This record gives sequence, structure tokens and C-alpha cells, in this order.
Amino acid sequence: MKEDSKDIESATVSVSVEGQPDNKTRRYDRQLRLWAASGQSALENSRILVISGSATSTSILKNLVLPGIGHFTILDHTKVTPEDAGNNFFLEGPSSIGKSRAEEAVRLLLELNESVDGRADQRDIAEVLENDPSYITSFTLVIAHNLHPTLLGRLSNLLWSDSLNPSLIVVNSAGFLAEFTIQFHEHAIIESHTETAPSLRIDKPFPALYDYATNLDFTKMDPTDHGHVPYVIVLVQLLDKWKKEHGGNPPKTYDEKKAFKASILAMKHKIDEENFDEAEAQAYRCWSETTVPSQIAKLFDEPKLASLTPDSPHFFHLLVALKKFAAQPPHVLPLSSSLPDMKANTESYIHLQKLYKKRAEEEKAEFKTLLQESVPDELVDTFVKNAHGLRLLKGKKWSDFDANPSVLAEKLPINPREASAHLALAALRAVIVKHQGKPTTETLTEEALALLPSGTELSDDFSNAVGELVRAPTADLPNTSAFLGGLVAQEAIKMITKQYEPINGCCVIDLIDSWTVIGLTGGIATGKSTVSSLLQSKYNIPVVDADLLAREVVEPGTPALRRIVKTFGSEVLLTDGSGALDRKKLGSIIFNDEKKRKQLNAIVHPAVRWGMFWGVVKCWLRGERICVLDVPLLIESKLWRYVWGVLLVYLPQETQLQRLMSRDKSSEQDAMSRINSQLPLQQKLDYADYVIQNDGTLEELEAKLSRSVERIRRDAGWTWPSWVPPIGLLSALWVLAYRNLWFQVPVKQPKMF
Amino acid sequence: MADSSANTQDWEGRYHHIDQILDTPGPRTDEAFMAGDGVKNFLRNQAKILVIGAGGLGCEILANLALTGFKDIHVIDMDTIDISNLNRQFLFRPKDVGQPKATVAAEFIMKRVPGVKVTPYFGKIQDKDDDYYLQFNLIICGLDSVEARRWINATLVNMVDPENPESLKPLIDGGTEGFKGQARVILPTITSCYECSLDMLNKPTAFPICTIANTPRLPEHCIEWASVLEWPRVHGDKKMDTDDPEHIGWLYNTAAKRAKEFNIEGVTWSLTQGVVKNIIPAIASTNAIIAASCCNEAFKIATSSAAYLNNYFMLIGTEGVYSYTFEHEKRKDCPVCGGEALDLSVKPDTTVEQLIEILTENQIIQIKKPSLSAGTKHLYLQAPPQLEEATRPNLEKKLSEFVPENGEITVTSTTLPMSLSLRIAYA
Repeated sequence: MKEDSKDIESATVSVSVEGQPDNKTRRYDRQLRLWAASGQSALENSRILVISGSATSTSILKNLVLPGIGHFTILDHTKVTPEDAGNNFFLEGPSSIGKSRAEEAVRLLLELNESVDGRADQRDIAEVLENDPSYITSFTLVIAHNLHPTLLGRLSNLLWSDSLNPSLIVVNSAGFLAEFTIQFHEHAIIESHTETAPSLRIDKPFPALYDYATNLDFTKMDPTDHGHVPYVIVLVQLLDKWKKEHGGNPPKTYDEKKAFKASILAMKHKIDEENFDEAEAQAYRCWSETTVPSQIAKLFDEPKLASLTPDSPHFFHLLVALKKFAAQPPHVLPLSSSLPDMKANTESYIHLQKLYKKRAEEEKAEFKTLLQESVPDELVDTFVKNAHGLRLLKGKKWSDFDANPSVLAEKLPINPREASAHLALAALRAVIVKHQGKPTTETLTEEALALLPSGTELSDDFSNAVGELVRAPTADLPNTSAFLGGLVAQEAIKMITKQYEPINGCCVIDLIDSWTVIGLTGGIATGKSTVSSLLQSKYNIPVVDADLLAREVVEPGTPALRRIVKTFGSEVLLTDGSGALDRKKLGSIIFNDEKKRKQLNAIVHPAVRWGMFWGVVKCWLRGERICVLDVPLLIESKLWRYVWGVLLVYLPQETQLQRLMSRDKSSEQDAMSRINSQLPLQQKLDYADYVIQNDGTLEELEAKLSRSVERIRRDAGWTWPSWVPPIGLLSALWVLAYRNLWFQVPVKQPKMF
Repeated sequence: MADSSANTQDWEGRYHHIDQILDTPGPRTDEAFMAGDGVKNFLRNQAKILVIGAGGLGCEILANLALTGFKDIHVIDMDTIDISNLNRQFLFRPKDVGQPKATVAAEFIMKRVPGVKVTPYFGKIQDKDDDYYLQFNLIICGLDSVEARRWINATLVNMVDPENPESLKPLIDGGTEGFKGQARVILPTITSCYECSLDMLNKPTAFPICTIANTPRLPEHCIEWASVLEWPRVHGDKKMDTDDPEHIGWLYNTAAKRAKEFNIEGVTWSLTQGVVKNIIPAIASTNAIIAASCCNEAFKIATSSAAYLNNYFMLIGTEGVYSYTFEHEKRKDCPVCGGEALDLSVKPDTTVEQLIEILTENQIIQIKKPSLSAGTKHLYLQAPPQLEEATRPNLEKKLSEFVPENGEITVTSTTLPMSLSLRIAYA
């Protein structure tokens, strides 16, 4: 929040140079702390068209009028019915009945904010689409709630026909279920407000920082100053020393990292010198190389960059300059001028802050020389400051979401709840188009099946969703509309201000189980199996899969299974008479009980280890150069000691939870404790030699994996065949440790506000 | 119209949307659901619901409840309307600035939604006793204060009488910050309560006093210096009013001067106000989502028309829309609803005063002014003054003089209706 509050002030300072801010700033104070004056000004220049004056539509508009959009129009040719008057807060009960719904709603919405302009348009959308399409395209953003699917298709076509046309938010709801989609060609974000902090470049210190840090003599310091040297300085100095003693390399192995950390604490004169504790906690910055973050590097491949004209949006010209900047050594983004707080006295902190600021100014000046078109200074500042959080979203046409039946079918088993709800809502639209009257389970199921490849099976989740739609096919419930009103307005604000990150895809909402899920857009990588199969198929690297082994060693008739039954009782066996292990049952027993987990590990791990050993020996005998051990709990099981290197593929916690839950159909609580039972991220980073964050699409994962494999092949060389089994063999491996690196749970601290 | 008696205001078709839910069960509806007139009559003529807070969440909650068909709504709020409320608290207009929130909100709802009775109370929740809270079927909180939440939570847990099922009042709690928020359902004594999850609270940013006094680095340090050290030094006993622009102005100027002295940049009016008032960013849209979630749960609990939230919903809207629904688990050693003693390990030479400090700072305890006793012995009592004086000498004594290894201490607080049992281990 600190960062944000600074932003707003620097931006609103023109409004009130000294003393108390003016009335407008006071009125908007709580939101200016989020999107600052620049965001506010974008809102005030926006013109929004909302199609229909339904309860959901007015709920959305309420949350846009309050923060002060420039203008809105409600396009609605209907009169207020008694039903409308009962569920819409922006109608005045029975006294509104029979009047124009657009006029009544606009009148009451305008009471919320005198600086907003609003208009009621009583034409029929069908007629406007036919005769006056340029009217629709003259807005900044168009929002449509429960619009007739045929008209929606035409509206979507119109807005998609030109990339300069407004974005479209499509909202559909019935009873407790809802979904919405944003249709846009492209959405560039400079101020994403990412929670990832920019690099401090401790591993690649700029000259002024390097000189200052390495010339500081700790032995000649007075005791108070000694305990107040900022951790950045401590680390730069120690890393420099370490590199000189280790052939220019940073700490690499676990033992080296441990030794490095010990050398930090050895500098302490007194137990309470917290700056050294802080340095130890931040030591990972020494071995995580500062590079261009992969998300940003990906933007450099944007094809558009090759064919820019002076008229192209500033964003792309800035991006080209950034690409050039990063192409020069030391291959990093321009330095950020902001320094986080750290244990230090005033003098040393302010001095360090000045070093960073000065350098940031220099690099910004350098960046400007690389710009080929003139861009306003203010925008350059914002761009450079937020370079580590840039985003470029590529959108889809609304009607393309369900265009491919097999994609939809693939989602059903992976994300059964949301895919089913989405499918049910799509079926409801189809029923409406065909005027089939009140939908029934049969008609909805029929329509849903028509959207899928023949032979696709529907699950209970689908029956649950369809049952709710049959129950309340036309209900615009006050709570659902208020919930949607908030969500859609949030996305609209993000689209208009170009700050924060809007959804890219379809957001499905179920207010019985209370969840919202985005998905159904691109191929979401399924993780472990994807990585494993990519390694085998694309790179021809043999994989010894510990998960597979863990299953094999407890198959009916194995010694390990006999010991498990002896320890946990026969209730951990499936009741179908197969004598096989009920893994879900065993899972829920051990993941909530540390003692039992240890008992199980004591049985399974030795068996798996033996199996892996033989797997590796077989690879060696075949003359393979590299072999991968796919081990879920590599670090926990201490197997990492025997491998050549560790590649960590990890998921951000939220993605991981979703995938874990949809894969195993386990409850959130189970999934959470399963994650909790593993080592937190920070600890694990120490063991990793290569890291891949698997948070994007399949294509992104493939690209990252390809880069890593290249590096690993280079680094690994041809060491393997020279080793002699058995001990040397294990040391000559590198290991894919999938799933063993989780964020500390919860990664986004759930807060109570 | 099914129930003609009290609903002269109900016009044909008024509840067309809601009735689609109330007339038919869905696939996930509990068997106890009485579709049709039974449930409608309860919702519209019998249910009595309390809303705590008429601010950002409160305004939204009141509107949703009224449209849903609750007709007997009570609302408590101790605040008056400020201009900075108007960007989201949509029942208030510029002319209402300075008026009590509860009263203005109640009047607005009654005017806009015919036939709904909203009874406001302009005051503190602590003014009301058990009898007051016992009259409601459900309570929804839209508060911005941790202390108030802890108080109502503890009060409702203590109110549960196993002999009387009516004494269990479901509590639905919502909260927001910027684009993020959460809603939860608490069934006192049955599910995890507010106190059970106290460790999930963000640690309040507290700056060490020596940093503020001697080695400031951030603009915030200068502002804290102005408000914590300079204000009492210059103004003596005069109370600082963070809503008074003159007071904020003085703090701003004082902090700015100090910042200049130390070459620190970034002290501004807005930041000064943000720090001293602990301002949390707030927008209409997030409040709408969370309030809707709270009211949706209230509706489902009151009508059994669908399964209700079990028990925690979290929403993060900064990157896309990310929500997370999970069951927060009850803590057996929760000081409010747990019943089991909490194990606390301290150094053998810990004094009573040091223990108090530990209790204040511990993430899962966070009791501001604890009174301690061991069996019949009072270790330290915060009040009344005579007893405080009598027990004050104990502060410097070692805890082990009063409590043996594995001995228990009872901790009570003047601000919270709860008592916590601690089992002490010396290590």
C-alpha cells in the first residue's frame, strides 16, 4: 500500500499543492489509493454502454457511477414490469411500473454521483445494430447482460470487426449460476500492480553500489553502525568475496549456500544485530540470477515489434526500447528506483537509496536514447518503473470460446464443476434461441451434448448445474446480480484504467458452493504428466517416475502393501474386492497426521528408492546420456543429495490448488493440508539449480522447458558415462522434481480486513 | 399472494425472481427445505436479522436483504457520514455528511423498498446485551474493526446455551481491502469462529520506537514521530482528532519538517492521513461482491433453499479473478470456542510483565490489556484501580513463583468477553 499511496500523492499534487486536498480528492480518497490520478482520469474519460436495465445491469453501473466514470448509456426499449420493480434497487417499486426502464434506472443511478453523465436510450438493440452500428462503436466499453444470443452474436461480430472498437463484456446469469467473458483483441498493461518486487541486482551490482559495498570496512566500524549496515551492502560485499574465492561463481550447491549463510551470521558482533539476520533471510538473492523475467522476455517475441509505425501505440515503441536495453549486458531491465525498507540507520539507508535513485535515473536516460519515437516523459517514467510487471493480454472473440467441441470436452474431466456450469449456461442460451419454452433437464442436456463431440459423457456436476437452471431459468436474483455487479465492475475498471490484470477468458460463478473460476480459454498445462511426457517425447530423455513406482510398489501382492495393511488396517483397501489400495482414503488419513505420514513413508520410500535405483541402472546400461528422476518429494526425502542437479517445476499456489482439486476431486481442506505437509518455497529454493514456474499455458511451459533443457545439456556435458555405478551413477543424474516446490501456503496471505 | 396478512405492500409479481428459488428445490437443496408458502412466510413475516455496520459493506447488505425479502432488519453503526464515504456508500448523499450512518441508511432503504422495516441504532455494539442479540435469527457483520468483530464473535459464542437451540445465532462476516475481500459463515460453537483464525490477520505494521525517535528511514517513520511523540509533547493532554483537518495539517507539517532534516522524501498530506487513520483502500465493486456473498449465505441459511458456505470464501481481484473457498478449521485451544488450554512455552526467568508482553504480541492471542490469575491467586489485574495497584508489584516477579511447570493461568481482557486458559511450560 505504501507504494500506492506515494503514487496517488505524486499524481494528485497538482490538485492540492499544500495543505488539505480538495473535495473531489477527499471524496475519491479511498480509491485513489488504488489507481491514483491517472486511473481516475481514465475513468472520467470513459463512456460506457450497458445493454438492458436489468437488476444485474444496474448493479454493475452503480459500481461504475460511484467511482466516477465519465458517461453511461442504458440501451433498453422495455417498460418496467411488476417483476422488475421487485428485484431492481434502481427502480422505485410500484411507482416505476409501466415507465421506461432505461429512464427510471438512469434517473436513480445519476443520484449517486453528480459528476457523472447518464442517458437513457429507448431504442431496441436489434434496430440499433441494424441501422446505427457506429453509435455502438463510439463507446469505450460495452456491457451486455442476458442479451438474446442471436443479437449477442451480432453485437460480438460488430465489435470484433475492428481492433479499435470497444471491448465487450458478456454477462449471463440464471439463479445461482452465472458467467462473464471479456472480448478484446489485445490489452496492454503497464501498471499491473504486481506483487513481485523488482530485482535489487545484488548479484549484478552496478558500479557505484559495488564500490560502496566492497570498500566498506566492517572492522573499523563503531558498534552501533555495525548493526545498521543495510543487508544489500552486506550481501554485495560477501558475494564479491565468495566469488573471488570460488572462481567467479556464486554459491551453487546446498552445502555452499549453507556455508555462505553461515559466513553472514559469523559477521555478527552481537546477537541482536538484526541486519545480519535480514541478510541471511535474503541470501537467496545471491544465487538467483537477475535476468529479464520470463513473462517480460516473452513480450519481446511479439511479432508486431518488427513492423511498428510512428502511429503504433506508445506501449510497443517502449517495448522495443526495452528489448534493446535488455539485449545489452548485463541483460536486465532498467533498475527500479524504489528501495524496500530494511534494517539500517538513517544515514546508510538514505545513502543507499540515493545510489539506487541515481543509477535508476542513468539507466532511464539510457533507455530513452533507445526510443525511436517520442513518448511523453511521464509515460516513460511509468513504463520504466513498472517494467517488471508489464502485461500484454491477447483476447478472443466471444463466439470463439466454444467453437471447438473437443476443447470443451477436454475440460470436462479436468475442471468438471466449472466446465459443467459453463456448458449448462451455453445450453440454456441455445434453448432460448430455439424458443423451446421453459427449459427442462432433457432439452438442456440435449443442447449441451450438441456442443460436444459425440459420445462425450456428462457427470453429476452437469446434473447439478442443469438442475439449478431448470429451477430458476429466468431468475435475476438480488444477491447474484449484486455479486456480478461487483465482479463485472471490477473488470470494467481494470479494462478502462489499464491497471491491474483483468480476466482473459471466461469467469464462471456458482453461488451455491460459492466459487468463481476462470478458465476455458487456452490449453492449461496439466503439469506433471505434461512435463514428463514432453521430456520423453520431445527431448528423448528417459524418465524414471517415482509416482509411478510408488504405485507399482504397493500393488496387490507386494511386500509394501502387506506392511501398509498391517500398520493402517484393512480399511485402507478398496471395498471392491480387488485387494488394491484405496489411495484417497490412505491419503486423507496420512495428510492430516504427521506421525502416520512418517510411518507410511518408512514403508514406501525404501521400496521406491530401490525401484528408482534399478530404473537408473537400466538407463545407464542402455548408454543414455541424461536420465530424469521424477520425484514428487525430492527434497523432503533427501534424495537430492544423490543427484547432479535439481530442476524445480512449480505452480503458484492457486493454480496448484485448482489442479489438485479437480484432478483428485478432493476437498479444498484436503488439498490445503497436502500442500501444507510439504516444505515451504523459500527453503526449497536453496536446493534448486534450475527453476520453471508453470503458471501459464502449455505453450509457455514448453518454451520454458526447452530453454532449461538446453542449459542443462550444456552444463551437464558428458560426465555421465565416466562414472561407475552404483554410487557414481546416482550422482551423475539430474532430477526433475515436479510438484515439490510449493509456495508457502497461502501464498497470497488470506487477510481479514 | 400466498401470505396476505402483513404484506399489503406486496404487488403481484414482486418476488417473481426469488420465488423461482423458493417454489422448487434444486439438485443440491437440503431435504429440510419447505418449498412454497412455508419458507416464504418465514422469510417475509418472521425472520429478524441484524446488520452490524452501515458503511461500505453495510449499505450493500441492507439493500440486498431488503430486495431478497427480509422485512424486519435492524442496523447498528456508531459512525457519522464523511465525504470520503461517498465513493462507495451509495445510500448517502453529500447533504447527509455529518449525519449518523445507521439512521440515514435505514430511511433510504425504507423509502426505496416498500414494506421493509429497518430499525437503526446509532451507537456501539457493546451498548447492547444478550437479550438484544437473542431476538435475531441471523447476524451479518460489515465491520472495519478487528476489535468489534472479536467482541461480537465472543458474545455470540458465549450466548450459546446447549439447552436452547434458539440461542445459536449464525454469524456472517465480511471484509474488504482494495480489490480483495472475504466472507465467512460462523455457527458459534459448531464451526471455527473469528478468534480461531486470528493468526490469519496481517500483522499490524508497528515501527520500533527507537527507529521513530532516532533513525527514521521512511516517510512513515516521520509521520509516526509527529503523531506519537511530538503531538503529546507539544499539545499535552489535548486529544488528537484524526478527522480534524487542522490536526492532520499540523502532523503533516511537523512530519515534513523532520523528513527534510533527515533527507527523507515522500511525506504528503495523503500519506499522513493514511498512516494516522490507518486508511484501507475501499471501492464500491469489492464491497458489492462481498456483501452479496454475505447476503446470499444469509438467504440460504434462512430458507434452506441451497447449501450454505462451509465456511470461508476469499476473493482476490488484482490479477484476474481468483477465489478460494475452504473450510477453516476449529481450533481446540481457541480461547473463545475451544475449551482446551493453550500451551505456551516461556523461558524459566520470564517475569509476569514479560508474559503480558508476549500475550499482547502473540499472533493467536493478541489480547491488548490482559489480566492474569492462577487459580485463586491474582497475578495482575488491569482493573479496578485498587486491585491494579495491589497486583502491580507482581509484574517484576518471576512467573515461576506463581505457576508451576504445566500449571494453568487464566487470562481475561477488559475489552473482550472471553477467558483464555494457558498451560505454561518452562523451556
